[in-house]
Amino acid sequence: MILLLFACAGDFEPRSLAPYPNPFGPDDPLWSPQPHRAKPREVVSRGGLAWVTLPGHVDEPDDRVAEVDLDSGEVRFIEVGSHPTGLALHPTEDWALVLNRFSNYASILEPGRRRSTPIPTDFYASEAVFSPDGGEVWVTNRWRDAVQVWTLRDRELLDWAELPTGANPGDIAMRDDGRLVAVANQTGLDVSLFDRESRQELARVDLRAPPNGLAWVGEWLVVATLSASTHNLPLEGPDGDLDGHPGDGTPNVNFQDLQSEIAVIGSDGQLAHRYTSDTLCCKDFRDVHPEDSALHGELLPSEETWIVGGALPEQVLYDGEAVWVSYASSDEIQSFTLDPATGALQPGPVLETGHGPHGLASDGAGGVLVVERLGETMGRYVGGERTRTYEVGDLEGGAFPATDAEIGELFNTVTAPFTVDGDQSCVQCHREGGNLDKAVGMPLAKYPGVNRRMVMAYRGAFDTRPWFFEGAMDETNFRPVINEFARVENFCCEDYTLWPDGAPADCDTHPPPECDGLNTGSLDAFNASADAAFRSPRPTPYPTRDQFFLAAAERVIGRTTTFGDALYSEDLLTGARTPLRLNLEGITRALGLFLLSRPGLLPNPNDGTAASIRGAALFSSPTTACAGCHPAPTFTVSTHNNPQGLPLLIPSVVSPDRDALGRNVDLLSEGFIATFPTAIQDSCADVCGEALCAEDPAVCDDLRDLYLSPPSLRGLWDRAPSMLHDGRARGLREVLCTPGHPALGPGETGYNERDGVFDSHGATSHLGAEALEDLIAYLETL
Amino acid sequence: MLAFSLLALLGCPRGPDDTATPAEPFDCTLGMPTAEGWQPITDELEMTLGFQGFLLLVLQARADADAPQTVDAAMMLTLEGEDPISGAQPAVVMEPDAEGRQSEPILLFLTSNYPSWYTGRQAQLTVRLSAPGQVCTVQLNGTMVDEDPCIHTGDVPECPEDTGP
Repeated sequence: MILLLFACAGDFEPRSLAPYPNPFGPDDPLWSPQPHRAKPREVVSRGGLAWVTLPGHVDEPDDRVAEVDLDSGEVRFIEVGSHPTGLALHPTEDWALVLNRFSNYASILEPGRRRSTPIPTDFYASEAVFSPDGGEVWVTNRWRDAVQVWTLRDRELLDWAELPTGANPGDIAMRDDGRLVAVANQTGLDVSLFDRESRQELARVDLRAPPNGLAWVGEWLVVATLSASTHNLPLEGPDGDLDGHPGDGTPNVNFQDLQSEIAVIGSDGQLAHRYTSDTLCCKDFRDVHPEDSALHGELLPSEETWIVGGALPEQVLYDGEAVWVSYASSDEIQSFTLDPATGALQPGPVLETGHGPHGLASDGAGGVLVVERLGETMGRYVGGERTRTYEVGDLEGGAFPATDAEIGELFNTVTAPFTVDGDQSCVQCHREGGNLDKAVGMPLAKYPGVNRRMVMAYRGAFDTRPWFFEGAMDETNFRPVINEFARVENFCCEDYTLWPDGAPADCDTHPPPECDGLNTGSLDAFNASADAAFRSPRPTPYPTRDQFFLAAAERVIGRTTTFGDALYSEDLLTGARTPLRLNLEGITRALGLFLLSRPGLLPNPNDGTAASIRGAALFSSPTTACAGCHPAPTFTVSTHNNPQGLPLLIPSVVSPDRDALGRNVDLLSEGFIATFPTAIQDSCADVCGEALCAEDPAVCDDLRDLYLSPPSLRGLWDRAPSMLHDGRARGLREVLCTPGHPALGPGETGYNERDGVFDSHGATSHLGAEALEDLIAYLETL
Repeated sequence: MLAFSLLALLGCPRGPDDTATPAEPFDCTLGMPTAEGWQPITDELEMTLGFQGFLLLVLQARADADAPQTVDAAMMLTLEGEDPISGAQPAVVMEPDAEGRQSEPILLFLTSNYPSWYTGRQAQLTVRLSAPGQVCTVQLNGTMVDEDPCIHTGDVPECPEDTGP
């Protein structure tokens, strides 16, 4: 535990971090003006008044809190620090604390007072909770990966102590008796349980999924989370469930293994219950049926646990009677009742909300307030009905979405209505555009079910194309990612396994009787069931995916085409433009546009130090050669930044991920290569010659290499601890060090080698431990 | 099938807001990669059912040796009575060979419908290849066909017997 004495007020200089410059501007043909948005996030309420934080976009931070009179509906705005996120109400309810992530101070709010009062703190103070007596406040800090305990007297900070947590702590909750504090380490995929009095971490509960929000209900901690799976086969491949045996222990694979979940943890840190999606089976033709023993359906959780009715459980509220959970990706909330003896949940109804529900609060009068982050609104629910809508954000530019980029932003979060399962979304893995401390199986692999790719942060997309490790995608062509959410085999007329010679030409307008039958259960997908007994009715009434997408767009957005401010079909001869339909193609383009238009890079709080200055010199030195593949300012070679004209894809600089048979499981499927012509990997003949490969095309899969795109180093300071394309390295030291390097700590492994050849990922073997730390210090400033 | 028409349109027509200097035209020809190598498109636009069930046109352009090394491709396919289907593929490499330059595959995805919806219909395909200061626009008419019985969704094509309902 570190005890820090608070700097005296006279030394304090209020500062706010500036966002990264946005390189996507009016010169780009896809650019169009975007409305200002306030992105309301968290809410607290007292005495008929609610305060809502307005952080704005990361690239255009806001600095206000909305004060809402719940009866009159009047909204006033109070200036606080930059990018306010968390809120905590003092037990006296006389004041509230606002955490401003981009400022080096928090703000005090008082009812009816138009100005806030600053309290100096660190950048990236994120969420807070008061002790019952109000003398202490616990504050999570994303930058420090820590919780800071402030001791207060009359709203003045006397001192603070810092306690380490897991990666990127966010939400925080204190048990009613004030004895236990729970911290949600969102990127780190675990929950820290602290004893408040001793300030000792009693338990680190590994959920193997992001804890998004949490709340105590008596002795029980309810956590909004996702599935623990790594999307691999249950009994083959990486040991995703850490049981010492291959496989992740769950029968579904790839994106089908991604579920929305709620965990209930006892005060002893033991997991008591884990509830999963009510659509776990069987909607998509790839869903594993519980009785399908050939696919280990018996390993699915029992059906009594399939009670999570929405997508992406985000925040949790206990209002004294019910547990409420917001579902950010399906525009819903759900209530539950909790058995105080066992912690078991019973599901209540699912209610519709505005776009992107996030923060929850009791209104003090039997109702629940729901902040709709994307919709710029707040809803009030009483007795299971929405009784009021408050405009707490910024709707001057029109209701959200108002532009094509905003359509993409909406889809990025509210993906679930466009998925066959109804429970998947982009931001489940890419929380706030960042990544998770998890490598997962992906459908692009030659050896599906056993491969792994680290979840990537998709920030700074505009100037780092092509995207992903494979360097094969950009804003126009990542449709196979969206395709995973709604494969064509689920739709009767496009199910080529039902119609190998082609569906009737008018199938979309006059679906034939075959469309009323069961899903044919295409075998043309990895891990699909061969047993007709486990086939379900088709998951939607729509015979084509186009119809499904357009109906979803109409329902969610109220339109079926882009606005046309950036995305349109252009007659290449006349220049005439027509908006794109919001089918798979239009949605893909809109999401790509959003990624281009919003870098989303969190401003870096690390100041330059003597160590980082020395590290910068090492980084740029030809003796390490770091800057060759990672040149400033993007710190990767890309179509926008390639000063030395290097290839955008290079042979793997670390040993490939090989299975027990020695096969390179990083390799891509031939179908993926055909779809993405810029992807590069050795053919069998390249490495072993035609004759040998004619007998067995996989004979040299131990020698074949996949070429990879150097990932950007911007934002490393905020990334998950696991690194490299398959997540094998724990932190930068393991990435940079050669095996046996003197800078390695106990238990650490250096991965800077390729099949026994050291320094394959930049030359570091000649560096001493101090120089290595200097290099790391520099990388943390990017 | 209708006879195709091929127009190498010199000097790309410009969008309404574009006031920049007109690009210099270069000659190019559209074809498709086949087992016998590159073949020019004559009167048929052969669809491919590929990875994960995607339906697409796999195109390939040829040009003289002095054509750009890299082009951005914009595509538009118009079927009679239907909304146009557009596509784009930036940074297409035009590899040099003995006869000039040949592009890497240019893919136009037909994600809106199933093969028989397209089959036999007349279509107009327009492709614009552009590089700084240079452009080639090709427009042709043809019939949408699906003569390849195989499904190229996996590493090995599946070629089902005629067992459909």
